[in-house]
Amino acid sequence: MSTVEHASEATESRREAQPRQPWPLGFSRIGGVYIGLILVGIYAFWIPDTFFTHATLVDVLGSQALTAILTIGLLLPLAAGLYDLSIGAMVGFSAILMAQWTSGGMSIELAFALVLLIGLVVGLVNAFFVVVVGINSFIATLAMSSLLIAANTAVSNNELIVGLPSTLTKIGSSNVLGLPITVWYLVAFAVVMWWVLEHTPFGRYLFAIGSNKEAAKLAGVRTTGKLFVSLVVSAMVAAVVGAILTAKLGAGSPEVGSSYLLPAYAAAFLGATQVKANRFNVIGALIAVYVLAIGVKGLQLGGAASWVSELFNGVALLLAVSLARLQGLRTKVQWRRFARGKEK
Amino acid sequence: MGSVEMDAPVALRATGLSKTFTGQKALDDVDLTLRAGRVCGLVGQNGSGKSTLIKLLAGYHRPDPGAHVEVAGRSFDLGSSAAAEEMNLRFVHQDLALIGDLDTIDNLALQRGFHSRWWIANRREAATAHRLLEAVGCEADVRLPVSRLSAVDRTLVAVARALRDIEDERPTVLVLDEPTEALTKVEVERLFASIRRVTALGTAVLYVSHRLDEVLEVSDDIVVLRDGRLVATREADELDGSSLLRLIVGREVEQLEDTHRPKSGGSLLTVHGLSGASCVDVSFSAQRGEILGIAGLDGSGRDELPYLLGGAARWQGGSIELEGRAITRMTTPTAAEHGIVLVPGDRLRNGILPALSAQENVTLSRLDPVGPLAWIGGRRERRDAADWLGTTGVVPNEPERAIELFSGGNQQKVVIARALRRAPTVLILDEPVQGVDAGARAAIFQLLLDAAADGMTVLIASTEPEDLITVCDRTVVMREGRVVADLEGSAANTIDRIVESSISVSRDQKEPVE
Repeated sequence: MSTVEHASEATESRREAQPRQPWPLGFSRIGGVYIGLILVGIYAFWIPDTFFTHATLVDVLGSQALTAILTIGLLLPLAAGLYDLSIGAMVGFSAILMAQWTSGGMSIELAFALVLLIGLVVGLVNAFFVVVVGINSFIATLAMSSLLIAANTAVSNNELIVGLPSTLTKIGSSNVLGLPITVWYLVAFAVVMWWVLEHTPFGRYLFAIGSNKEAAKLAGVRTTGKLFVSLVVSAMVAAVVGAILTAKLGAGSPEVGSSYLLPAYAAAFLGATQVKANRFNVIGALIAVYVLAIGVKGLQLGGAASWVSELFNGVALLLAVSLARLQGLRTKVQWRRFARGKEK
Repeated sequence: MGSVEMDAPVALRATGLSKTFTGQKALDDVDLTLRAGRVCGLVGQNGSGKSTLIKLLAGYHRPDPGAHVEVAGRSFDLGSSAAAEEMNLRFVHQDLALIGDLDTIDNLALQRGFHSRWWIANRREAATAHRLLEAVGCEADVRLPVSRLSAVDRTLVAVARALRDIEDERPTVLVLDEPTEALTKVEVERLFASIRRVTALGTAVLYVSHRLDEVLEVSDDIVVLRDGRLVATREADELDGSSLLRLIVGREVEQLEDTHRPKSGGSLLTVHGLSGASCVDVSFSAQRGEILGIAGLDGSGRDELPYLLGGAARWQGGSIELEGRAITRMTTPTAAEHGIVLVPGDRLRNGILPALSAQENVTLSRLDPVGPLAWIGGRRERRDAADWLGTTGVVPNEPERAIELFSGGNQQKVVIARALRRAPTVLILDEPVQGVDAGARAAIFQLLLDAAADGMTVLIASTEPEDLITVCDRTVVMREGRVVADLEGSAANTIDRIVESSISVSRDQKEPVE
């Protein structure tokens, strides 16, 4: 009897394992890359003079590096099943503080350290309300977002802060080996976070908590500290991104933060449909950030209105989440073959 | 007696019902006849096919080919809940599926529909709800949120909802699945009065329960399932408790290889006066290499004790002594450091990590021998996981397969593998074979016997005495938070003694929940 069971389960597994272990370069794993290539092809024919240039390549890489860093920092709380909606406002607040302080004569190192400290505090406060008090992370970080926007306006009076030291702008806008320096920041950060999420017990525990917090706890995982760390990291990364943003722009703008929130979420969720299905991952997030950027950039160069980037990101977020849902559904249907409804 | 009743019109006739899950016959060629105005009791052990049969009738599963079902002479295809609904085949599941925040009117209307699509006339809806409740003999206030009704009134609201077409010409077939689980003895009597009321109106009732005394009391006919087969159809008058129990158990003793267990003298684990939310002053001890059963009904403390010992529930007093060390407080991680590892019950909610692979589920215990930033996820982890899946007999042995794609029994083996991988000195399992098939059940028991043979102390909490006597050297029975009996051996009469000591208090004394 046990051999019968064995055989039948084995054939079943062969039938079902296939969609789950696809060819590493197949469409179901890195479909985003192919979509990106198709977009490049279309734009290359449509607007070859402006799109298919070295300048555009550098511009896309550089302008999206900060979004990508922010997205990858966001993956930690997302992996653990938490939302951090305060990262956009955190970027904005830290950008303003950096500008305010350095234009007032504070040393760059000190200003940077203080901004990091503020990120730490914001992350701790978020984690306190989410993990200790037990408020839904969506609500707690939304409230924090509002607090940070208020603080931002109080500091900046909604005015642009200019007159930053040139040493600061160098940190954010110089080129290294022909690419914007922010791209190199991204590469270093992505490697570290890929390692943390994919190859350390800490990362694995985050996914376990995100998958089933109760079961993880019963299996002996200490959850509180890890959830704290995840929210602190996402807040501190947002603070760093804000500081670099100011360095890159050469001015402190009070309105930059909010424009970073949606692209980060769109990329994180779209990224979760790539490489590792239904799992937030660094490489998928990178693919997603740049596919979205290529799509938007081409439309902008082709003369589309300025609102297309929001349109594009919104559509992408909806598509990404729907896609993830369908991927999940497919395996479940294969597994249990719910006869209800569909097979009639 | 009932030759007259036996001529009562057939409400439902099902023949040749079978259901195969991954090569295992969960239900094997079962015939079932329900007659209008009669209550048919359906009994059997866990895994005997009771729930499969209900799920087939409800259209949740599609039966194997060859099944034929007719209701009041009209045949129809099983496999769709809409069709079952259309044939007046109605179900009241154990959880009742009521919406607690809504009142009775709304709960009934969600299924029946309101009188008008454009305007809800409160008085008219209330009158209808009131009339439906009256039909089942319930006098609850239809405007109270159902969460504020008593347990029996809630059950009756669910029954009224199921019987909303009782005024139709076609008879209704009502399936009650473990309806008395949350009720006190007095409430059970009220429920039975209601059941007699609706059968008098021509409803056929299929009454599913493992409380044999209640089945005997309320049923006219009784059918017994064992290992997926229908082994007896009797009139209730022909049976008493012990003859029914004999039919259910069938007295087949499983052949497990009872490996020799070197029990050391003296206790490895001693529990001194441990108290928690429902446990009161629990004391017992266990030896190295011993398998100790914990028996008792729900709420007896049997359901809390594993979590207290595993550090997952709060201690309100007492201590334990493990290998001579005294421990007075514990959390899940510290329990594991002491060598006590828990395998929680309710696999889907507390056991598996659904989004992860089998490998990740297994290695979750002890991921970081080097530290939280050690390199994992490589070949070594995969080989380690494959070894454990092999040891515990998980089929197929594919570490990277998503855990949801394994059958329930294999998922349970994965959760047990995770616990064994910690090399515990004391392994505690809550309902380790709940909802797994017979093959996996035997495999899991064999694993536990082998673990004990290696000197591990194994504690198994279960509501099924049958499970306990299969593997346990000794069983402690809990009632009202205390240990009330400590039974040696696995003799056949141990089952009766376990059952006797866990329920010898009469149910009237059980306090209502609210």
